[in-house]
Amino acid sequence: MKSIKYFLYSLIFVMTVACDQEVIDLQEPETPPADTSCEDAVAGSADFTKFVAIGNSYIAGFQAGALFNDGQNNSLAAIFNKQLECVGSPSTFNQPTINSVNGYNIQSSIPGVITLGRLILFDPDGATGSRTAAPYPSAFPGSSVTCPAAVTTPPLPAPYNTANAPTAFGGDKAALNNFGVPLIFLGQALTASTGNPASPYYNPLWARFASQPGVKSILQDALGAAGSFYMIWLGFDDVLLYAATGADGTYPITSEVAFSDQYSTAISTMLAANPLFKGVVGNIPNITSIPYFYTVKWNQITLDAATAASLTTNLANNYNAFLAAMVTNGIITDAEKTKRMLTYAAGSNGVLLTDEDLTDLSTYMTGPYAGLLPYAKARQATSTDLIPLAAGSVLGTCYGGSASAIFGVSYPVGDKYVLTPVETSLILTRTAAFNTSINNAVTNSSNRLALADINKAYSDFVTAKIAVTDGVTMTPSFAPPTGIFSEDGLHPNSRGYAFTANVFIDAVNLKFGSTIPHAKVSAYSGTALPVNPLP
Amino acid sequence: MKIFYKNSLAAVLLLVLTASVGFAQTNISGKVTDEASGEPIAGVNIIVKGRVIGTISGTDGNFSLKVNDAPPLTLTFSFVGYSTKDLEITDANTSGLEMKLSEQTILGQEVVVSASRMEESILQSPVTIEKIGLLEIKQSSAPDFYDALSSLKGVSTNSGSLNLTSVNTRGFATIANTRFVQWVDGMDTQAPLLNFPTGSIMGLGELDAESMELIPGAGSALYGPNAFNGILVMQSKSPFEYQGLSAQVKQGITTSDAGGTHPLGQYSIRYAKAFNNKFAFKVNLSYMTATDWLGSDYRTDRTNPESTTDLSGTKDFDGLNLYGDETLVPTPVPSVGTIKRTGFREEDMLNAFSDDREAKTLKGDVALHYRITDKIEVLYNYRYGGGSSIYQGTEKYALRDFNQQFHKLEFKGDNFFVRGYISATDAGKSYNLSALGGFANETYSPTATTWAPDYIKAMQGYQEDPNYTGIVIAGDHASARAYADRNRPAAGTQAYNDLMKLVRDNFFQKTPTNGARGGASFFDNSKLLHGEFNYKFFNQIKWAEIQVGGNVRQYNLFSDGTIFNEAPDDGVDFKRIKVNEFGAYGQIAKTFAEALKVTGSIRYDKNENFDGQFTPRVSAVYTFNQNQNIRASFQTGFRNPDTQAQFIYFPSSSGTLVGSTEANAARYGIHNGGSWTELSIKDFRASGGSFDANGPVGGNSNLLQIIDLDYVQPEQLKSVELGYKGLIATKLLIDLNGYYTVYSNFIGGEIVGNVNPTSHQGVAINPGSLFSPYTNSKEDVKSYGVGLGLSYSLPRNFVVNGSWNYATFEANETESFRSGFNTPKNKFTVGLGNRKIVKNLGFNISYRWQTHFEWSSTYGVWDVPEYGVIDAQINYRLAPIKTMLKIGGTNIGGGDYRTNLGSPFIGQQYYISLTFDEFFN
Repeated sequence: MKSIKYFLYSLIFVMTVACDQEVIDLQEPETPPADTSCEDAVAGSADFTKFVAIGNSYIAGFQAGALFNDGQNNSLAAIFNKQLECVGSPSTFNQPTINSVNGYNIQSSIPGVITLGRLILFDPDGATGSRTAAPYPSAFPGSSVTCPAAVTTPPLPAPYNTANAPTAFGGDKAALNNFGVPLIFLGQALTASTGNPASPYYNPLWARFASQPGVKSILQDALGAAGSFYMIWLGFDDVLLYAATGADGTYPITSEVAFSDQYSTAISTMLAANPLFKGVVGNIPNITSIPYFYTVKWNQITLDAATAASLTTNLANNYNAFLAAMVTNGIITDAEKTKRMLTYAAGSNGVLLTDEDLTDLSTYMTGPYAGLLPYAKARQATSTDLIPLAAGSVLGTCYGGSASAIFGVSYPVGDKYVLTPVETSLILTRTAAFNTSINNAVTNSSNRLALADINKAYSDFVTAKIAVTDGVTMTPSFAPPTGIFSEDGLHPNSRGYAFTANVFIDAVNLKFGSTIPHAKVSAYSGTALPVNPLP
Repeated sequence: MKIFYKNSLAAVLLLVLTASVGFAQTNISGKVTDEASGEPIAGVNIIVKGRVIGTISGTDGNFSLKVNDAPPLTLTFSFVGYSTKDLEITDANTSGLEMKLSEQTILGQEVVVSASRMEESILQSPVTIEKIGLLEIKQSSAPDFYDALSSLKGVSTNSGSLNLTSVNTRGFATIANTRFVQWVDGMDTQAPLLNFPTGSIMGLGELDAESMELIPGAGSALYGPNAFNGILVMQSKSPFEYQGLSAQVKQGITTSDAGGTHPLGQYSIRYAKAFNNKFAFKVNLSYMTATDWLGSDYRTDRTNPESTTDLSGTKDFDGLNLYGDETLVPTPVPSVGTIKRTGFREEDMLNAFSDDREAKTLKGDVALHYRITDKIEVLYNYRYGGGSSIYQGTEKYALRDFNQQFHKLEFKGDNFFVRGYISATDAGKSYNLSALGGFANETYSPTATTWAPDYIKAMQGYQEDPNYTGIVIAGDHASARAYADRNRPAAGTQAYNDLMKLVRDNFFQKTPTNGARGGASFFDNSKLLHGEFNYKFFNQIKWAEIQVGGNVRQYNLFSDGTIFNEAPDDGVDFKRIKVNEFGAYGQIAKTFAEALKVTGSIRYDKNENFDGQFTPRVSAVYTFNQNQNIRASFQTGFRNPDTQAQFIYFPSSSGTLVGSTEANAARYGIHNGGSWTELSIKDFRASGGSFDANGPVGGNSNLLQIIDLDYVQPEQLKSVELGYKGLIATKLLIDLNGYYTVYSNFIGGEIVGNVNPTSHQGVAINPGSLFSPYTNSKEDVKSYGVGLGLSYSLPRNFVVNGSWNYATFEANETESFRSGFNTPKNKFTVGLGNRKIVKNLGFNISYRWQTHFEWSSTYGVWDVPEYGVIDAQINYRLAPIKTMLKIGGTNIGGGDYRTNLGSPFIGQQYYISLTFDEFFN
């Protein structure tokens, strides 16, 4: 069977040359390295066996207008300590636990009348409604207004429908590590009166955990904790409280001399009292780096053509004619008139406001001009004015229930809702001076203190508008999901505190040769998404 | 339609009336026997030269024939596997003829008709031609004889599906080879909507196939616009010449690592009968059912297939056989960047429907032939081809119950033909897999309002859904994706099937209903009307062979807006799109000194949307030492932009495809300087820019670069070919050819963004939206290659053959211009066969191998790795029951392979078949 042989030969021939098509052997993608956060971390020349923090609301973990459990657990000091665990700090970091889910909102609550808590973004008419989400305090009971239009706001749903006034700290005061107290001027940290209810310097949030209220100062108790490493971030409230209230005089701004004296006293006292510790000091950010001062725009007033025309006829023409008469009579300069002239146009318009630096024209607003009395120091905002976030809840509402007197539109908002260029300039100048004092104190600390330049870190962040770390995107706003400030616009949220902690960590590592790892910002949450009313 | 028939019938009647008078008669009868054995041969074809009249021998070998003409006449006796013999008849009453036929053992004796549109010896063809005749069809290893094309010299095939093999000659082909023409009995089988021949779905059944002739290279001079890179001419069996009942049952399996093992069945029946040599009819039916190959590559990224890293699960992964993950979703959050949806697996999607992975083909035809006179035959043919398959263009389509039907009326004689046919396609229940995946995603979770915001929020550590049981980790794409996908129905569940069904029940580009946010099905009721004639002057002119011909054609397109742009203004009034074209050609051939034959042809074509084109061809064949032939030819060719390139409007993942004739595209204003380059738009977006209804917003708009596009025009080629074909010592057949081709105005695509706002169906389109118009490349593309084919006749009927093919190209390829040569540089085949090892036993075994090559299409670019395939069959003839038993297999002992990016994994097929034929040889 010769033919069969051929067949077999040919089979063998082809079988040996048959080749399978190559398949690309796909490799697993490089997996992100396991959690090696502590790997190779060294303490350098500092001793981190006991970490103690002193400062204001940022150190305490204040956010969203209140001090509450979640915020306190993610305080700047607590986050910082968590990273210090890699270089010898124990994991127990004792804070004066507030023990409240929603905390106590000092600004919004009326003692004896209503207790309100932390702010939460609330969308009162749901995602499809016309109103956008805005910060509302927890336990907000709901409201109804009829002017300029009938609007009902339902109460906040659970779990945001509770609030608690702070109670005394029941834990071991001697074992505390965190001496951050919200709302304190530098001077209040240095005086024992801050714990005395009778004193004008009294701060109940300090009294609740002071070892001997009215006897020992915050600084003394912090020193008493005998830390091997301190975080000191004092002086922020010395400008911030003044600025946040629109420089209307509710809070003073500390003088340069007083701040310089108090700051050098505080630092030298500490360095002397505890000759071994090392520490890190934070300086003061510019208010222009804080969303509270740039979230509401100077030209936030949006008008349609008809409304603008009506305002021009009924208000602007009269007011502007009056101003011209005032110039003619030599009461105001032409320059002031120009500054004060009102214009309304379809689209964005400057907020109508009261500027105390303008000439008070109330004396002349009599007779036919009596109706202009509310505009005695009025002008519209320009791009150099800063409108604090608090104005957001006032703009567009009615004055005295009158639909023709709308705040910011046809009726000027008060002084506390605007920072004029004069005020802003004062605040920034003062901030710079304070920072010089802080810098000097650090320079004179015999290399025992590192300086965390929070001022630069925040303003760089605002300039960059955006930052990406650990796979999350961060923006200098309180708008979720990217904002790293909390609902009050003044304080960071937990992620923002982690971001801030890393600025301190960088300063410490640079100064003391340590390699403390960064806090992972993705592990900390941002501002909560707006909640809707219960269906 | 109606008018078409009316006119044709009138013409028939007229011819019948005028041709019914005859005078002289010749009567012939006799018997055909095998020269070696002396046994009678049944089914031998006996025709009168120069006439349409003829007969076949009966089961006893006897035949008789009446011719309405006086002698002298020449009878031609031909039979499969036997040498053809001519016999001169001089007596008006010839009876008792004894014709002895001998088995054909000498190679190269075939006759071809396609190369010059007239019969000539394959050895003397002026251009390269390949032929698969009856014997080869019988000896083919593949379950579908059509796949035998893949072992031809100069041919490579791509398999998008078990039953949709796409032929590629001379390169520049994708699965949709629009540069290639396939004729069945003189009818162009291209689907007027898809623009390419749907392979064997619209071919012939095995029982009815007489021959396939394939001309690689330009055929425009004789075959018109689309015969640009090749033409396949399939010829069915005439009911006069092949009569009786034949039937075939084929049962087998397909098996692949990817797709598993499934049964395959193919059932065919043919019956033909002639009455009095005057009237004949035939009926064919062929049904194939199988489970398709499976494309199950879920780890390769379609946009980055060469990656050696497993990219599946990354944020912008576009899985090769995953659908719904094609579109890039830009987000405003830098840590998230651009993302893509999660794709659905091809097998799960197909499995959501009862038609699952079916691959089936139903082919049938009826033909009625009538010999009006000895010189004129009229025939009517109805042909149906349809089935289910997978087709891959810019996106992937599941063709389901797709069909194409033909009606043809033809008059033909020895020296002329006139034919008219109409073909109509119906998309059946076909759907677009990418659209199905994309809109399934949109339907269960809209990207813009739900999915992307959820993803972004989860990336930032947010999860709003109180019912979500997973963990969201900020900065972790996998957890963000899992969260955004949380409501995605799992494959195989009722919810999944309902979702897929809902989207498939809706039509692409139509207003969705029942809560779907888009549809995946498409609609096709397009038609092709064609009339042509050919006349040869050999009775009138003897000094040269002269023929002329011409055709008219109308494309009559309708997709109800799902593919074509039938109502661009309002999306309401969908009108059929009609495109008319005509062509005429003439050819003259002269033989000098009985050795040198020179042929010249010229053709003119005009399409209403394009300038007219002249396509000349000159060829010469020099014959020496009897069987040695040297051929040379210069050819030109052109191709009009296909109907899609003219009139499509089709949103795809890489921009909206816009047919780019002025008639269609002008209203969008993207031509003549109205567009920006895609790259510059990317740069602009990267600079922080975006677009609104009026134009660019923000960013650095100086980055935007204008691109000046012209409306699409025909593409052309010029080609020179040299060849040698010869028979050495009657044992060795050599065919060697080389060609060099220059292509100009190559049709391709460009992705651009509109400068000015525009609208489609009343919906405004912002500037900067991506369009993908068809364009002509300004670069010339050159290709050249060499082919060598050898057949050697060994003793005892063994034949060994082999071929080698080299093909390459030169082009200035850039990011935006890829010529898509898509052809392996080297390919070889070797085979050994014997159709009669012993009396009843035959076999065939072949091996083909090709080098790796770059596959480039709108679907993606991939370097297809080399592969080799063994096919074999062995057959045994059971003479007593007139049945042939065949056992065969393809890709025997090989692994799964793929022919192109996105194609399924092709495994092995094994089958056993029984073929019964009344005139069993």
